[in-house]
Amino acid sequence: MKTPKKNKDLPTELDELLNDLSENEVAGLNEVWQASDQIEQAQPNEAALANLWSNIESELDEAKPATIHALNESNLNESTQHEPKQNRPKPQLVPLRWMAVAATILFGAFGLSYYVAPVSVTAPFGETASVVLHDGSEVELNSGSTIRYNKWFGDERRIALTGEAYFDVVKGQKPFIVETFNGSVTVLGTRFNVRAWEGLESENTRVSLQSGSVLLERNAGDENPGQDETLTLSPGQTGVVNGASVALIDSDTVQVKSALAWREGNFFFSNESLGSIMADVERRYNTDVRFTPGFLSNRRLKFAMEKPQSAEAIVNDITETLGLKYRETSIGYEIFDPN
Amino acid sequence: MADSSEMETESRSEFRDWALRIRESDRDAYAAVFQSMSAKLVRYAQNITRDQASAYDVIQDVFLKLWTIRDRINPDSSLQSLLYTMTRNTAINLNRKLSPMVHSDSEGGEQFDLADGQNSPLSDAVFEAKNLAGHLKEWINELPGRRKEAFVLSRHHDLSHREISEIMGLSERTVNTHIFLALKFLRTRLNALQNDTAKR
Repeated sequence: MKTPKKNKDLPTELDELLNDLSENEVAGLNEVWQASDQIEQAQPNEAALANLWSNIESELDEAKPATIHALNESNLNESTQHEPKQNRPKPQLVPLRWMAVAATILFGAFGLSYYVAPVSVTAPFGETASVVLHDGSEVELNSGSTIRYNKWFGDERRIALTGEAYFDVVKGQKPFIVETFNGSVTVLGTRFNVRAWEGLESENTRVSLQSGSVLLERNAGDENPGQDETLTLSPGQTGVVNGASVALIDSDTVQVKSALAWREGNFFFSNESLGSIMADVERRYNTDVRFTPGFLSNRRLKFAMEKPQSAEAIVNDITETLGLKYRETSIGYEIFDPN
Repeated sequence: MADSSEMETESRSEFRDWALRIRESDRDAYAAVFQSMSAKLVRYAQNITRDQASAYDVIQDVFLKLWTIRDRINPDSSLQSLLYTMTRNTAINLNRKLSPMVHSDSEGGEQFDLADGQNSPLSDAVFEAKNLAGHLKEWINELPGRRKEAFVLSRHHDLSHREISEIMGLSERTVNTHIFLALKFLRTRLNALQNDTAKR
């Protein structure tokens, strides 16, 4: 048994950061560091842990013969490819979805470099999803968005995005490229948000840069080879790729913050069409919002709501502000003009 | 600052030794790892699931999983990080499965929470400390999710920043910053409290 280490010193990893502080300040930080040791939570009780251990042992004993055979006799490639399903150790307690999302992390940890296959991850309507790529970069997907990539990147870390995602890219030798339906973003290590919903009235790819630097590129298409355009963004800037051009639309950090609001479960739009906002509502809450007459969806507005309780909370708030009304339908909501 | 204590180095080599033996299907080493890690991992899982029963389920899954993949354990990377990573992923996934709407912002950090002090281990004898501890707990819970998680892993799980970076999928530099800023935040809060008390 390990004896608990009490009153440990500040982590040595902080030395560099502490260098800039006065002795007094360091002593102050050390004091809270020491004091926060006191708040350790209740230890799980011994009996419960013993019980847990006996569960584990009996599971293993049941699965034992097959397990040892399957895992010891074959090498790695074979054991993953040919091992008959029934030879797998019995406890299939780890849900498949966990496997899908965590496989990247896990396999990364084991250095299984043989595995090359296209991967597709989608955040279903009503949910968001988060993926750690094998290089350690993180992707957070907004509802209804999809990324596709090769688990084992080649010369480039290339990701195809449909929808909206936030990227926290680990610095690396290989460029990290996010492709959307009409453009691409190339980075070496940075944090940024990409919003690229095809088929909206304001159809574009919008990139909001939190830190680092990225190169935004428009795919001119096959008809106009050589007409690609590029733009380099600095932190706090938002750039957009639309049908005609690549342009800087904002150098306001507030704009970047609002672009990232979805990650916290908030709704924040500084100048967005009603249609585009409601498309987000539909994806986030897996509901349906329609407009009568349809052109209502073109009205633009500024809208902010922290962690809305429901789709209706948003619909209610917005219609009230705009002097519109709404009613529930069998599948969602209908927004209409009472005048 | 602290020179890495001998005890720490010793425990690292102990874990390496266990990892090698588990690879060879040594159940005693496996039991030793459970003995050494299970309580901590249950606590960590509980921070994410917020429910002790689920936390036990998570740790059961993690240890069974560890056994099925034992031949692929890399003895040169930290077995502790691996267990924490598996715990984190399993717990996050359980949250998603149980209530996809509530926990929809997926990554564990956002939902990381210190459990209520309902069965606080502190005795009356340390009443004075309890007062400060109570405040600290509150303040730690005010930290942004990831910062809180990094801080707790460092303070209460004795993990190196490298290990924390592996577990949380962050860079080591980010972990340094998180922990540094967490300490500064706690210090600011404590200063404010002390000033308040002084005024009265």
